[in-house]
Amino acid sequence: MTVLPIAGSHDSGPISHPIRRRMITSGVFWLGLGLLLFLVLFSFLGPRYYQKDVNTVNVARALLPPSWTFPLGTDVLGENELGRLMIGGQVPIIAGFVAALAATVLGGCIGIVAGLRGKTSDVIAMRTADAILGVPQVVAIVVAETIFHIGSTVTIIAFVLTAWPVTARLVRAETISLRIQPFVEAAHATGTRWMGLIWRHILPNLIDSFVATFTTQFTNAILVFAVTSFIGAGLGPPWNWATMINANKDALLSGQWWLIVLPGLLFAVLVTAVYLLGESIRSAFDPHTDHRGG
Amino acid sequence: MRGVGLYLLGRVMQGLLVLIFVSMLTFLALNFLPVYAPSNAMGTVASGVVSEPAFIHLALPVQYLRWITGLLAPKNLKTVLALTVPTLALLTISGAISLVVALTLASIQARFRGRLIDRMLGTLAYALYTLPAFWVGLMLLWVFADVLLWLPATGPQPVPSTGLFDWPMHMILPVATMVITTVASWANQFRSAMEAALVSDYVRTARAKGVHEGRILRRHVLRPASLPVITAVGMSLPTMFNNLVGVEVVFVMSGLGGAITGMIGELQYGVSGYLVLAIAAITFAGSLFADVLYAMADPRIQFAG
Repeated sequence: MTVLPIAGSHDSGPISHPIRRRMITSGVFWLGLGLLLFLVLFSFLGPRYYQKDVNTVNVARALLPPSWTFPLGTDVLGENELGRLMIGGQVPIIAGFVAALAATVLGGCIGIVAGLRGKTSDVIAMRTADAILGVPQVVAIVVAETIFHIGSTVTIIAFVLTAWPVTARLVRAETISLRIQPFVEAAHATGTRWMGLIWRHILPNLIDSFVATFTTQFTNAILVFAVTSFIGAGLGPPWNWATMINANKDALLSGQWWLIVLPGLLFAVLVTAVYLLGESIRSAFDPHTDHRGG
Repeated sequence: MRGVGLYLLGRVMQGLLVLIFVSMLTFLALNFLPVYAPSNAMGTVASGVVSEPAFIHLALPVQYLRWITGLLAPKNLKTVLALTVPTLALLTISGAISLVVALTLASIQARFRGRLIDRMLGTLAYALYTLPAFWVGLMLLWVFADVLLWLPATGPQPVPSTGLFDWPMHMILPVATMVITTVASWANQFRSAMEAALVSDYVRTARAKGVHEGRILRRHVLRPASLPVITAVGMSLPTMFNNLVGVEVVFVMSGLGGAITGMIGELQYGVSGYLVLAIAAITFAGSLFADVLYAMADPRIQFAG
């Protein structure tokens, strides 16, 4: 069964869907995806094949400059810097992702409920959100760790509890603007139940907001966790880039600047990758942006 | 202006309620610390052989009141104030400088939007945003205090007491770090606000009248853009605080951020609860300030509640 190629017709395969097409042809999308994939592979696959002296303390060969044995030199304890950088990325990526996901889901649910039900639940939700918005995440995480114990779970939960209002406000505003649209009113008038309304009419239109807010939460989480790891409010074993910066910060004085510069740059690359990816997905959903430039 | 006054009063009352609520939460949390040492928010007393939580025989609300009024004790007050002042100084100075810098950047970007300078500045701002604040601080420290030896390597230290001209020198690097990170997060929002104002009808009219571009920027764009600007500034206090913690640790400054860091794993009940309150108070004051400006800039706000 062949399809006759008619001039001007479009293949109705999976790529032709306009949003997907915009994503795939966008250079920003591939740049972001590529950077993110590189970092993920670097952090998770790298250590499987490259384990040279990552955790062996040997102060005799501390702070060596880059060489063939140690491509990025050694840190203050004589461990392989390149290997440590690889493992150091695991925690920011996973913890950031999980925290962002939880915050988005929690904020999204609260936002949708507040937007749809309105009146009391809306007021309660928004007042709580306003109160929580004033709490700096780092302070909340430190306080939570003082009360409970130092660890990833506490950190992530404390972050999620202080980060959901951002998402909730956004989702609520979008939900309200959707709720007053004729098609939602029509669906409601014909007797669609709440879940059907949410599932079929509201959520699909919220996808790009969700992506955008997830991206923001992810970048926020990465930067917040960087600060908390730097000051020692542990983010679980193994170490991460920020604790490496903390451990090696005196190395600046002795001249091994790359021990500090590299982890910081990797943070920037991670944040950039997530941001670019999110931006390109978001603008793919937006029919108003000019998509020709990519 | 009477309307602003009433609105303000309402906001202050609201904020005080939130503060009280936060203080109760803090007290409860500190009181029930599930740790091995039997103590509570008030510390411990030696009774007989073992030490036990202080005032545990009193009812919880009474303990709370004692704790709250403990803040007014001179010793506590002095400690808390000594920690709060440097942090406030850092916050306000960097905030003011960041505001000026970010507004200037945004004006340049809006004026020449679409051209190379716009995109360059935007990319620069974004690049700075992706870098952790403490890292920027370390880099500045390295370049200016280590390599160039121009500036001292720490923030202001109480002891040994530095001379009158030393304080500004010691503040330059921490303030610069805070300014860089804050401007990075504000630049984009300010730019969007100014751009939105630039394409509006009244600006078009002004241009058609022949008004000079710079004058348009100052009189017609700055004011309507100030609303989103105030919102952005008011909402960024928590983020500024996040950065501030990192900066205070890097530059060994004895402020709230450094004290918070010391709380980790050290279980210092003495002032730690009050420190949390101080932070909450600062944040609340910041958002109140933003609300005041907002209400003054747009009188409709007061009636919307």
